[in-house]
Amino acid sequence: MGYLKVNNMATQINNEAKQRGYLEKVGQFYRQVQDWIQNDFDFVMENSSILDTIGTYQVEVLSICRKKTPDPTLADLFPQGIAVFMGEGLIEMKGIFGTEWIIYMLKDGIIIDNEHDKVMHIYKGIEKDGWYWLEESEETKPLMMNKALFFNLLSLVSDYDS
Amino acid sequence: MIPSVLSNPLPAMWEAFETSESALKVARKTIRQPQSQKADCQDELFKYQRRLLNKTTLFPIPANAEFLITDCQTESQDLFILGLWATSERFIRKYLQQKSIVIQQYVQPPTLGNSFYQYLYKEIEYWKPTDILDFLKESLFTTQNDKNLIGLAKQILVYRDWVAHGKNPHKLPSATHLKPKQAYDTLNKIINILLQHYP
Repeated sequence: MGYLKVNNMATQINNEAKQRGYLEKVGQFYRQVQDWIQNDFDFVMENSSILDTIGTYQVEVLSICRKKTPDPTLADLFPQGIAVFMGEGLIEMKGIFGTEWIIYMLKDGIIIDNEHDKVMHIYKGIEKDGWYWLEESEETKPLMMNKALFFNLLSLVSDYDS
Repeated sequence: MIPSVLSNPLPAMWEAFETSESALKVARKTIRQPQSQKADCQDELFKYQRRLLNKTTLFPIPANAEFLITDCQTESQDLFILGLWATSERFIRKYLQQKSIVIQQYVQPPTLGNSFYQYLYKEIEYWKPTDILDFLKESLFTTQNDKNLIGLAKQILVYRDWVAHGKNPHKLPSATHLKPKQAYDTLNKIINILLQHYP
């Protein structure tokens, strides 16, 4: 077996592991979201595929719907892969009035291609690994996702009034 | 020739970009079908919507209006990042050109100092951005936090190049998603550090 072939196989195995890692983080977040919204909204899951730096793979889009109304979809959560600046993964929340980014950030820093070690965050407040939203005030603040913040983002991207 | 005093050009760019984002959000809200329970109120709302949208490309409201606005927003965000990079790069080149004036002032004999400065001034225009970032990292950005900024700036440059060359799906950069505010925060911090050592 040639060196190139072995190298390609190693890259593929590595990419598949990264895909699984990302999908696991998305899955954990979805379980939290389902818990947060269960009293107020329904949800629907649909398969979709994305292309990013670790290949083309299947993801699940989570649509948040109003209960018992003819125009049900309020917002969709679209996993966008791992290739996000300052983070390890991205989910976009999209509604009729806009899109908000939910980024998976590591407390130890940011991995950059051209640096050997992780580099420190330029934002303060990332105390553990997890999904964050960047509040774009004068000084950008990363806020860890929680129920209140999630509903706040829903009201930013849709006509939902929290 | 007296060089103009350098100041940070990025905050004004950010303010303009934030305004354009808000304007697009207003457009999104305006094209929504007005809803009222009362028929006469509904009529008034339609008239008001028409007054707001009249003489724009959003009236009559195209069937794909929401898609058009989303498309416009993506374009505007990418163009903002391109502009932000170009403005930062111009600032850094000007900064280095102004720093080079000491050659003209102190190298003896003055005729050599003058030619030397003129040549360097022209050459700075051709230096590669990554080479400039590397020597800044070795000189003015030596703390761990400051070095990180240079690493992040290089990643923004790779993103900028990818966008400028048509987002080739076969040559993806390490970050294909970059928020305008993240690019602004990084480059703004770099320029502010440079200004701490100015003039």
